[in-house]
Amino acid sequence: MPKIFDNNLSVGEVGRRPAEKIMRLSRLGSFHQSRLSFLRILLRRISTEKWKFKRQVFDIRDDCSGTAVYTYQLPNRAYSLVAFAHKISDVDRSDRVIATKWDATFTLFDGIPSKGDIERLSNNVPNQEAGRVTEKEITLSRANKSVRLWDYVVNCLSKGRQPDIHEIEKVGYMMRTTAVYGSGKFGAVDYNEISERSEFKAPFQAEMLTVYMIRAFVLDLLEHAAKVKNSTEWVQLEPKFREMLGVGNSTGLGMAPFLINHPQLLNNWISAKETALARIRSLKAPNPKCIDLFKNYMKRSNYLIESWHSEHELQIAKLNELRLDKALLDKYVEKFNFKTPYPFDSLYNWAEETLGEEAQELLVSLILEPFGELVDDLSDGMSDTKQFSSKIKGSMLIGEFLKKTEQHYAYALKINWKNSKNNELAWYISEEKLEPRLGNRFTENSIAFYEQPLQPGRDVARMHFDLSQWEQNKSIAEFLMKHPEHRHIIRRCQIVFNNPYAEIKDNTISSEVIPIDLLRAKLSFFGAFHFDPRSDRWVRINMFKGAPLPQSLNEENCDNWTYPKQKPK
Amino acid sequence: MNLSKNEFISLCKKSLRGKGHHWGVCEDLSNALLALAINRFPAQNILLEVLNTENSKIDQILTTIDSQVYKISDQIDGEFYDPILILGLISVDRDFNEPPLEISLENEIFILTNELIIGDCSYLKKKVNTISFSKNTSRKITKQKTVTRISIDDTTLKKIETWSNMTYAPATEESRQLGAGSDGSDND
Repeated sequence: MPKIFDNNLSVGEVGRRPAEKIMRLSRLGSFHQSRLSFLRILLRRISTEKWKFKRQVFDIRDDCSGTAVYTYQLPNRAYSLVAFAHKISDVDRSDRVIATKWDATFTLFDGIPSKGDIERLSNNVPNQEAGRVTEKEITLSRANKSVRLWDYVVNCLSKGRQPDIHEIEKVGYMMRTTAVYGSGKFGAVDYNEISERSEFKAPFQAEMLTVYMIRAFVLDLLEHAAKVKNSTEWVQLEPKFREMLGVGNSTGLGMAPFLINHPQLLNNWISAKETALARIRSLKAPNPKCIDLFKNYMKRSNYLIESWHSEHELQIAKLNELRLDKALLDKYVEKFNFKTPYPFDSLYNWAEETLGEEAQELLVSLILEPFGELVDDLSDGMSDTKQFSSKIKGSMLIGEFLKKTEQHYAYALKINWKNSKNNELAWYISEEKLEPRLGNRFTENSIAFYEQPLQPGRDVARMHFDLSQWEQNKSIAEFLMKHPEHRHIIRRCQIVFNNPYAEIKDNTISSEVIPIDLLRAKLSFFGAFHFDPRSDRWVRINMFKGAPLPQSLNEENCDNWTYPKQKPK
Repeated sequence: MNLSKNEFISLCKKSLRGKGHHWGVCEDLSNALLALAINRFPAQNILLEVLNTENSKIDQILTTIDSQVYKISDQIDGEFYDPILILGLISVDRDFNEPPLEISLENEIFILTNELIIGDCSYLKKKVNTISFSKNTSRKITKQKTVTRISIDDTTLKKIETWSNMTYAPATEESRQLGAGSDGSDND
């Protein structure tokens, strides 16, 4: 009989995995996309509701600059991607927040834009952070070309031939977004104004829709460039290549604070995934069809792993381990008796004892894959629209608060915060285009003064020290009157007390911290794969690689693409 | 400029932090200011007033929500600076399905119902000594619509941004080299 990990986390026969295990940075940095990832939720909805896709405008000049508009028509409303293509020089191309020019800029418009709207947007969207959008706009985004692949593919198509598949595979995208802003940024509509729309109930759906439509635009722009280069001999990109190309994304430190700043949201994401896993592990005798599908996805996942390249030493080591572990897992599954009661629980327990975290988390995603009917409903609980209004329960007694703090923050209270290595880094925002940065508080001039509240472990330890001096029957309200400096962490603790997955249970300012672990956790929930760290603080990924294009998306293929059936030839 | 709610919250938080308020205090005050702003109170001017008030005096009014005094008392006495903030703080703190609450800032009466704060939007008294609470309001409640954008004139925005700019580390070449993405070419 499988064990129950924790009564509070119990779902069925098998409980959810404990937060102490899951919320460690190394584990979060090993997450993979799953069927609960946001872009997959979006594609399921588009196909189920039969949204209609249309290119409304493609007014692109010979130098590949101009405007295009793409619209998704829903049963009762429409959303349009307004795209501006720009000609920029290589010296201006940068993926950093401090960039001021991009190969293309975008906004997701609520409805179908008029000429007046497009004119207004043309004066603002290309300027990104320096421009303003309005409540009619939902997102603001930009993208840069993969110059090498772009030029190569355009050349091939213009000469009437298809590109080499290996070249396509190596990069996997023609353009990479460097930001997709939503929820009120730069004047766009606030999320809570649209969160009641069914299509936006799951997190980041507008952002995912933006990227999905960008993918269609990029392919059109690519073929336009080939046509301009040689209008008589050019050919279209073959469908298999079109589907192989996703949209890249370059993500830096800005994404890391997001996870720490949104504890309730983080809890909801992880909670959904853990509940899904627990539901499946609790199946005493799963449907044989699902077991067959699982075995099928196991095989198909090998190509995804084979085609995952990275030049960064951290990821190379992880990939090497993953490949070895996957071979072990394949062998084990081949001989595994799925008639054993609770087979997925047994399989997971074996993996936890035998494999590294990368492979364990891959297995979790694969286990979820055949059980859509059992787990897809969990996507409804992944949002949080009340982020800013968490109230402090001032009536809570200090004794109870201390006890719970010691239970939930045991990791933080064990750390020696006087050791400079444990306290070395500070998260801050530069005045240079408000770029989030991470620096050494002891060597970089005055950055500690600008430190953001992104070190819950240290702040809890400080609060705990002060709180321990108080009588246990006093209230938190009384404590806060004397210690307003602990107000933010008291609020955070109270969120964490009721939400087991709200806190990252690691030191976020240690000299050892690897910020890309935070980035990967978030990006995996977006649905990204092929994580390719460029340093310990920024990463490139691919979204929608292998996904059907809007023109061919349907209920049959909307979920059956993440693990390709065979290696493309 | 018309700010989104998200932008307004961010502006409030940063400027209050620039003034030296503790992070948690910034969070609550920003939420309170947003509650006032969506109810058409001149929250940007209230924010400026708050930025001109000693921090410890502002901290004191947070006890009204921490102890939920508005639920258990009819009246509180003391020195309450920028008392209009209390309306926003309580509006965020209380559950929207609770019955309407009447709050008197000395002689000026306001009513909180759902997310609405009803009363004289031009109220700008700097200090009161008595605040009263009543759940038995006999006043007629006129439904009003909340706004989704917060309008701020450029002069006021610049004054507020003077404070929020204090939360940003100066741009130095050393710092620039430490930003994500500084270590590689993007023309690949």
